[in-house]
Amino acid sequence: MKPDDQLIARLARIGDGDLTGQASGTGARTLLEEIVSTPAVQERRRSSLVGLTLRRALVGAVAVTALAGAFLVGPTLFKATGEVYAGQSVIVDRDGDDYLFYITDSAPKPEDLNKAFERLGLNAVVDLKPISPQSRGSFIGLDTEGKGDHVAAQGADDCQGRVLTCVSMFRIPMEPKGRIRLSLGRAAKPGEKYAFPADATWPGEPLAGVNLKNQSVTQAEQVIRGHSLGVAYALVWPVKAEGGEGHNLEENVHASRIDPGWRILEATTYNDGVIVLHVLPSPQTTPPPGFHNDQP
Amino acid sequence: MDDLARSHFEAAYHSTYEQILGYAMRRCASPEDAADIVAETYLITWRRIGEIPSGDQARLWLYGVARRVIANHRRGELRRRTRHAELLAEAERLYAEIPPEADPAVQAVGEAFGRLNPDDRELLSLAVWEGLDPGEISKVLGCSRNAVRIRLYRARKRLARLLKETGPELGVVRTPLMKEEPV
Repeated sequence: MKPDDQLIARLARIGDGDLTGQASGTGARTLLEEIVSTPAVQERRRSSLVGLTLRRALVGAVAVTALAGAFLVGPTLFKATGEVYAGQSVIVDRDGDDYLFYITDSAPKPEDLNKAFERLGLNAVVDLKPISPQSRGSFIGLDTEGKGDHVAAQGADDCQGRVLTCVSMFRIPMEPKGRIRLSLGRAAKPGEKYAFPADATWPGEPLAGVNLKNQSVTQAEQVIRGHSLGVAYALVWPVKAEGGEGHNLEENVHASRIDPGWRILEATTYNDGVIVLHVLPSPQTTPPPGFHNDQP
Repeated sequence: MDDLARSHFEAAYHSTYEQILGYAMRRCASPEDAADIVAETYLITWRRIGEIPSGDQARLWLYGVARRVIANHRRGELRRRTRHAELLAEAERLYAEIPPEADPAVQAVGEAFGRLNPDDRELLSLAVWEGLDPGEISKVLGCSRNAVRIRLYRARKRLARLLKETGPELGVVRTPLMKEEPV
């Protein structure tokens, strides 16, 4: 143990060794009795880690639903969570007038999600698109064709309180006004263009390990040309809106509009031999129509 | 519930109870919180019996559940779905027996430790308090072993930097990950 670790260890309120015998105490025993007396409704139906014997024992209990690949239940049956659907890679809760989809597989099959949409009677489709193999998670987009439909996607941290192995979640209305389009990613094949940009400095990407952030445009261009890659530009216009700050990204900006001294926020790639530099204009620069500070 | 599944749960419960209780007590300022965390962790586990790994992997899996329970519920918001009065009484007794820490060096580390971001604190806690190696931590946190190594290295560096700024006169002894809400 390192010297600092010895001091950190002393910060611990109690050690496991101080709790020897607690497992056979009254508190442990009564809690166990209380828990096993509750209905053992599984909060998830997917089992991958349990031993084969136990898995076989459990399979019988859900055999009917397993044949269908998924099951649909009335909300009243799972009143505590509002669960209305559970499939191989998705659990769906009802929340008011919305459905919450919890994706439980980092590479969900589109057919699993399409099946969920179908069973819930939702006007929604799943697209499968090539993305960087380095991308975390495969959920890459959520769009609606209906005006006024509110859709929202969130990350794992927002959903693991409900479903421990949740990798991402999204919210869509139960009765969308237009078709919902969900985009999932799959690892692109070598040389295949990405449908969604990746950070060009990630491992495995053309500028792996290179730090371009806060470099000038001139410096970044030199690095990129040194790698025999092309350059494209996007301007990052800061936006102050109610509730915080963000930015509008103006894409496909001609090089003539880029000042060589402006700084780089990040660099992305579609795996097509071109690096897209996301450039921060100087604060004095006037944004074009549609990218003004007062336009969220 | 199938008898086999129940016996699997009971085996996991008995073999991990003391460690999960310790995990909760080391992170919770009050016996009420610690008892709630332990009870909720095992209740979730019971309802997800089909996912419990066998052997020592069960302990790591349960640390992951407990971590999520702590992270996702502030005090008072935890759904108390079990009564666990006896567990609470035992936790209260255990808390009452904990001696105060008077060593200034430990206090200084406590101050620096408390100023770390929660992710760094949890990482170092898993390594030092639970005695997990990077491979085991990676299973608890659901990330790669290499990522754990890198993050541990950075967390130690940040702690060392904070320690340089911390004088022994700053008397915070323990900073739980789950603080008590002000009354």
